[in-house]
Amino acid sequence: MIETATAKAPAPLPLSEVDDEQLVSRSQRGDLTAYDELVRRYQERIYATVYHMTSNHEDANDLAQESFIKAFRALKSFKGDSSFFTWVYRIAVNKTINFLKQRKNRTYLSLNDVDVNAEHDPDLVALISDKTPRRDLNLAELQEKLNMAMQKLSIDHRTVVTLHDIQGLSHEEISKIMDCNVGTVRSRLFYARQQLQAYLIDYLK
Amino acid sequence: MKSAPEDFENLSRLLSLKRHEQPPPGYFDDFSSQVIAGIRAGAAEPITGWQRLVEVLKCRPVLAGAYGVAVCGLLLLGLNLSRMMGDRPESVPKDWVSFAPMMLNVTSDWSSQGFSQPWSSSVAPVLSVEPPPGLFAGPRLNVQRAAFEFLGN
Repeated sequence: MIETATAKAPAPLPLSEVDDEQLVSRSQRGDLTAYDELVRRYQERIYATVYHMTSNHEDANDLAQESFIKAFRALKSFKGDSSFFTWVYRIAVNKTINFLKQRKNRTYLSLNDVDVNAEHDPDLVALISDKTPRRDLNLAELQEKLNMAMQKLSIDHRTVVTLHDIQGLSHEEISKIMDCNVGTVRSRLFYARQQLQAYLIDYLK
Repeated sequence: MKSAPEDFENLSRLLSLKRHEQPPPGYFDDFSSQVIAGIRAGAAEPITGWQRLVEVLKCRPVLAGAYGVAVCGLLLLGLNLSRMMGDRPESVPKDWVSFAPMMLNVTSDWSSQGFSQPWSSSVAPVLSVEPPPGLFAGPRLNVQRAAFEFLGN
């Protein structure tokens, strides 16, 4: 009889198949294995966002980890009005903005290597062509120039470019993360692109 | 001269290079375990009330502003109250007047029992009925009028 009841009970889903909502609910009750799964899902995107905002691997490592720790501590106040993804993004972006404001204009580049796929990326192949004025530059030099130009942008402009042009988030998602309206996001994106274009004019066709 | 959207297109292409910047291989393998270790380490350390307040205020800037205004208001209220209390001139003399007869009685008892005043009190000049001698008052001399008689008058 007991064996029959056990057989009828559905087997628990592996954590990788459980949706965010359930993982959040379990994490709110202190289940660290559920939170570990949430961290695994978003660690790369959170790290990348912070990295592109700081252009520094060590800072990105610290800030990304601290963001997840802070998110766990604040998880009880998470009401589910937005997705966990948006919420944790907001924590990471705000933490990084505060860090950059404290650091002010002191910039220390600590760049990650460009992966081997970059040389075959059609966008980059199209860009680095015979018509490029500075085509003698290799990818590493171009990467450094690009990061230096990014660091010249204001923090808000850099954040918008990072979230939209690099991370591929929509204007609406960015407006929720940055707690501003969509028009402000569009406007910041336009001016940020204009400035970047001016800084990098020698490296664009 | 190319139009702005076309230039932005090239800029977007250039920005795609950023997507190829990757952390060292295996970096994410133990990332989540480090986060969990950080959470456990943080749980072991007790959070003080002050740290909790700072965290709450960080998340709610309006509440932080209200808290600041409340603290300033209390400070101003305290300052005003202390100034009002300090401006009441009757408070201290009232006490002195109520004490003065008692002090006088004590001294009279001592003298009635045949004792000379056993101590010199610093409040005696204040309590004495006669006005204290001034510092610059001249000595009291018995002066007689001089009478001059001129010879031959």
